[in-house]
Order: sequence, then C-alpha cells, then structure tokens
Amino acid sequence: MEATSEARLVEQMPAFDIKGTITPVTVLRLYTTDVERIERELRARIAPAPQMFANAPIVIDVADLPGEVELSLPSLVARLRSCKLVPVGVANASGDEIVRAVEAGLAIVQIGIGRGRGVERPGVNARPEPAPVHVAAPAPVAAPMPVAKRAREEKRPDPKAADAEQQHTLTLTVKQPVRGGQVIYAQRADLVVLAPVNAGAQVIADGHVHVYGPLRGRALAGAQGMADARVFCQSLEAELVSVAGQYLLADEIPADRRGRPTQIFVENGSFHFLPL
Amino acid sequence: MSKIVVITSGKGGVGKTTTSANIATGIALLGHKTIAIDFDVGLRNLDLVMGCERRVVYDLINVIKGEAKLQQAIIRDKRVENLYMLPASQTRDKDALDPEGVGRVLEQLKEMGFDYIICDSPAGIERGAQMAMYFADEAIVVTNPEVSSVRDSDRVLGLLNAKTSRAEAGGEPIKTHLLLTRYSPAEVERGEMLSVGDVLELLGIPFLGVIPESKAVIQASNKGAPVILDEMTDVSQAYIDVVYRFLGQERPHRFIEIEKRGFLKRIFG
Repeated sequence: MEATSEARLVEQMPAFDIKGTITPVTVLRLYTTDVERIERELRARIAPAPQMFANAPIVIDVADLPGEVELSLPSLVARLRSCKLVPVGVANASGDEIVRAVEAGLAIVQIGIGRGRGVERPGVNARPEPAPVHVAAPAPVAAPMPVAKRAREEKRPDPKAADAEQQHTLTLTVKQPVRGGQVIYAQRADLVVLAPVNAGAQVIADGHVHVYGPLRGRALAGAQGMADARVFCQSLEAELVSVAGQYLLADEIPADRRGRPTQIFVENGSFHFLPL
Repeated sequence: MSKIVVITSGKGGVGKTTTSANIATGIALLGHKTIAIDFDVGLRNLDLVMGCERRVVYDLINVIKGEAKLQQAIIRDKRVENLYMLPASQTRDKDALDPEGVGRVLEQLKEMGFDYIICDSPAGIERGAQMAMYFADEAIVVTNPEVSSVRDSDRVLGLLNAKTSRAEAGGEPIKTHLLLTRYSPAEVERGEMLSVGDVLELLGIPFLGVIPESKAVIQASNKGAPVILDEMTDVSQAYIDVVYRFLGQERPHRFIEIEKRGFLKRIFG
C-alpha cells in the first residue's frame, strides 16, 4: 500500500530540471591539421599530470587553423579519446566545418568573443599582458570562469620562458590580519598572508594559499581549477578548505591536524593533510 | 588638537553606550574638554545613561539638517565640568546621517576647542555605525568574552581598516584599542567564558583592560549617573584605569583574576 502511494508520488514529480550552468572547459586551440603531430604533442603535454586531464571535457578551437588542409575531425576525436580526453564541441567553426562537427557528434560552441578566422595570432615573442593582481571581493566562493574567459587564458604552445616569467611575478602578499567578512582574492596568483586569517574571512587564490598565522576562516586554492594547488598554514583551524572546487568543512578536517602546521592538497580526487 | 574616538563593537548589548558615557566622563574629570555624541539615531540612549534626557531640545540630525545650531543642541553636563553631549534623534532614522553633514559637525566641534570627541556607535555595521567610525582617529572596540561578540568585533576591525576616511586617505591607520566588558573571572575559571588571553589571541590589538560584570552598571544607568562617578564600585575603578590607559598612562591590570578574599575582608566581610 505504502509502496504504491510512494510510487505515485514519484510519478507526480517532474522527471528532470533543465538548468543553465557555466563549467570550465579546456580548449585545444589548433595551429595545424596534422592530427598525428597533435596527438604526439598532446601526450607529451599531459604525461606529467595525467590525472589533471583524465576524462576532461575538451573543446576544439579551429580559429587559428591554416585554411589549406582540411582537418579530419573523426580521426582527431578518436585520438583525443585515446588520450582519455572527452571532446565535446568545436569552437569557431564555419561553413562545412559546422556540418562535419555535427556529423562527428560534436556540439558547436561559442568561445573567445572577437576571435575567428583572420584574427591575427600574437607573435611568438609577444609577452602576455601583465596579469592584474588585485585585492577584490569576487563572488563569495569563486565561481568557475565562463568558458569564453577561460579560453583566452589557456596557455599557448609558445616558449616556456614566457609562462615561467608570467608565473614568477604573481604573488599577492598580505601583511594585515584578514578579519571576518573580508575577502582577499589573488587572481592568477599565489596568495601569501603573513598574519591570521580570522573566522568569517575568505582567502582565495588561483594558485597556492600560504597563511603564516592561524587559518581560522576559509581558504580556497586553485579557484580556477588548478588541481595541484595547495593550502599551507601555520595552524589549521579553518572553517572550510577548498582545492580546485573540491572542499571540506571544519568537521571533515582530520582532528589530529587541528591547530597544527599543515599542508593540504588533493590527489586522486581525495584530500590529503600533511604536517609541515 | 582634537581627537575623534569611536566606541564600537558590531554586536549590540555589549556595553558601547555605557563605555561611551564613562570614558567621556572620565576624560572630562581629568580636565579635557570632552563631548559624547550619540550616533544611534532612532534609538537614542546615551542621554539617559548620562542623565540629561530631560534637557534634550535639539539633536544631531537637527544640526545636520540645518534646523538648529550646534550650540543649541549641545547639552552641558551638570555634574562634571568640561563634559558635554550631543543627543541622537528619537524620531528620525539613520538614513538622515550623511558623511558631509557629520563631517561638518565634527569640524565645528574641533573649532569649538573640544579635546576629545567620543562617538557612541549604534550596533551593526550599517550606515549608522559606518558614520560613527568614518572620521575617527582612534577606536575603542568593546567586546564581551563570548565567541559571537569576538567575531563581530573582528568584522568591525576589518571595517575600521577599510571604510574610514583614514583608510581611504591611505595615511596612518586608525589606532584601535580593545576593551573587554562584562568580564567574570569566575566564569572564565569554570571555562564558561573566553579568557582575556583567548580574546587577545583572536583579535590581536592593544588591550585597554577589562570591565567586570556588575549590577552597579545597570543601577547607574537607571539612575542616569555614569558608574565611574560611583567610586566605591569595582566597575568605577576599572573604568578609571581604562581612562588613564587610554590617555597613555601605564596601570597594572585588575579584575582579570578571581579576587582572593583578604584577611580583613574575611573577618569583617
């Protein structure tokens, strides 16, 4: 009796909800149609951190492809899958490409406003613009970046020197205590706090978060998805710690690390707390 | 040289108004020309605690709106020389406070030769509280030894370092002081209350002292005479110490430990 009424109740509920969402997606911006070379370079690129890319959704951006040779989408899709990536769509496709993308089971994706065929690619030596480093109050818990913005920030296959240089300048240092209600966000940077982070405060970084004092508030490292970001603190008393979107609440933090110098990171999808 | 001092806390009921009245009175007793301003527009209380509610004609909002002259609104204390107060309006609300108007009033008070301008902040962190702290040179953060009060004080300290004219000018920051009120050493000993050490560790600002929990405070408020004038009470002595410390004199801290009953007290107690 009860089971039937329960079943009826379930049937009265809608079968699903449709909800809009913004999810970070990795963009593969192609500069050649040589799929063999793409696969080779891609394997080399993900080898150091295979977990980071495992089953990651990938959008293929064809804006910068030279027009002469046609890209074999089915072959590329198969090769991406063999690298454990999940191709989901094609960006900046035009004409025939759209048809072929749909045939290959891929979505047509809009990214990179203003980008498209014929837009000049910055020279290899062009330095990336100095990233803005600021103290700001972003959304309470950093939301994943919209696809478009994310796409622009993907690293180009340019010399590593430029990347290294860019990363080097990026640390935001805070000397004052971070009080309840304050939010400090180190955008595209590491964050170093040389004072306590009190209950009700939030410290957020796209890179690592270091707190050389008690961490009593919330700390979010890898706010834009950097999976190997870490949180370091002198005394772990946090309300919440988060790495690349995964988070743990105070009650879930191992009791034996409470009040102790600790580093926090995520490996294979689970949190690790190690003494410093 | 005038000094603008805000008495603030975030949380309500911790003793801001009591502290404003007593510190203003104490500073005035030591010979400084002092005025206490009630910023709790709509819930005016300071005039009651200072015992001049029957002489309120005009108020802070009247002055800001140009409906009265500052001299007409200021009330001179009958007991203590050098002590004045500027009441809040009971009929308006805090939206009537604007930075230009408040700034004008404070500037005028400086010209009138007040040494200390004590701003009694309303609870909360909204407009009234922000107006009270905006022009301050120093802040006394009043905290009770309990977690929620400490957290609110922490929030307020963040605002003092961000949303004040000193913070915006980027010059020397507001000097902050911690005052721990309604302190009961016995409850601390039983672990029912945060200790001085706990609170200082959490807030990390210079410490003015403790005011012990006491019935004398309520009795004094009801009488309309600041408790500091009732020198037989420990609260009075605690406030006197705090006033001296605030003015830069070192004094040993008292009322933090449970008082050992002395020999004479045990006999005559």
